[in-house]
Amino acid sequence: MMSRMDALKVLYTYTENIPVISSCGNTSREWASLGRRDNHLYMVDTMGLTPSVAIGVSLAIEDSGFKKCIGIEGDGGVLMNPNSLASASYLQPEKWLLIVFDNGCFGSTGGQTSFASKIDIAGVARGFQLETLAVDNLEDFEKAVVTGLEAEGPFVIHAKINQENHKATFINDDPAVLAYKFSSFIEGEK
Amino acid sequence: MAKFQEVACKEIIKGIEDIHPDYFLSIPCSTVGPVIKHFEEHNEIKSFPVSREEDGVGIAAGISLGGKLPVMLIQDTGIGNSILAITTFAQAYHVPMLILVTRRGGFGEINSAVNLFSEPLPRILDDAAVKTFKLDYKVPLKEWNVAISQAAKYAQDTHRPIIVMFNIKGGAEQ
Repeated sequence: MMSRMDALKVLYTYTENIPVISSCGNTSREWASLGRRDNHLYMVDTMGLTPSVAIGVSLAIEDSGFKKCIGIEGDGGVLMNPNSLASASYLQPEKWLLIVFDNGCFGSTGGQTSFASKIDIAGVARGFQLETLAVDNLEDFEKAVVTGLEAEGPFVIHAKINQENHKATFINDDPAVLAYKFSSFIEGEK
Repeated sequence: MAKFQEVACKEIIKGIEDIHPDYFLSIPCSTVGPVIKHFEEHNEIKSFPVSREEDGVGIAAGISLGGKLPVMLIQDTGIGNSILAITTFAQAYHVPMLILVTRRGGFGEINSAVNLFSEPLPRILDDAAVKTFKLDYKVPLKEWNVAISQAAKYAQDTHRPIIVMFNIKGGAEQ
């Protein structure tokens, strides 16, 4: 099974000009370690909010040239805020692409068991009538990213990963600066 | 003679329209029902309900980060569902947004539990340093629309979420 870092490295090659919001903890740290970009917004807290923020950005850029806005969330986070799946289903933000990395545990806090060890997140997303692809290896993940970026409506990629965490530096930037860079990028590209 | 609530709703509608928001997000509320109905039928402002206030703060923040203007209308109990998102995301990331909050509890409240959150809420917001303006019987109703539109500008100018709380039932301060 692929690691989150393996998958992020693939995703990184597709997101030079695409707004990406990454969830707090190891996900944002590993994502940032690949190279900071102004179009990438790193969440440092508020676990589970990433899919919601990505919905909002997706609505705001509907008339822009951006292909998608990508939210990266973990299994623990998405089950902490499944409301975001309901909102995405209701609002149908056409540029919303959610990637859920599912390691079946709360990896950033020591690997405590998450609900995803017994719940199929792809099934949950489909239950909310969202177009969803489930993958468990790097080759299929890359294909799913390409498909998701070209999808005409909201799209979910449920990616099973192993529990490996890469040691990456903490993100202690002033969140206001992170947000300013992100907003300025979107404003400049619109 | 029009009731306090009817006039207040008209003032709130005028205040929101003066802001020219791109999006109006709301959670159902009987006391401001006419406001929600007005924007559901609005031709220019996109209106939608949110599933839960925390989700709504995230969506509104995303809209704001993406360069559009959101306004969210919720009940004060919803602050309990969203205070973490308001503080550690909207406030920490300097995301401007206007959150309009209807007061629960106080005279006229029939719910026997909600007062336990609604009464201490102003102190909770003060402790969390979330800037809140309060509209009640002490502020002339004709000033409410001005306060709402000024609060939206204040959110933009000071780069943070701003709450305007209103007691639409009239009567004494809670």
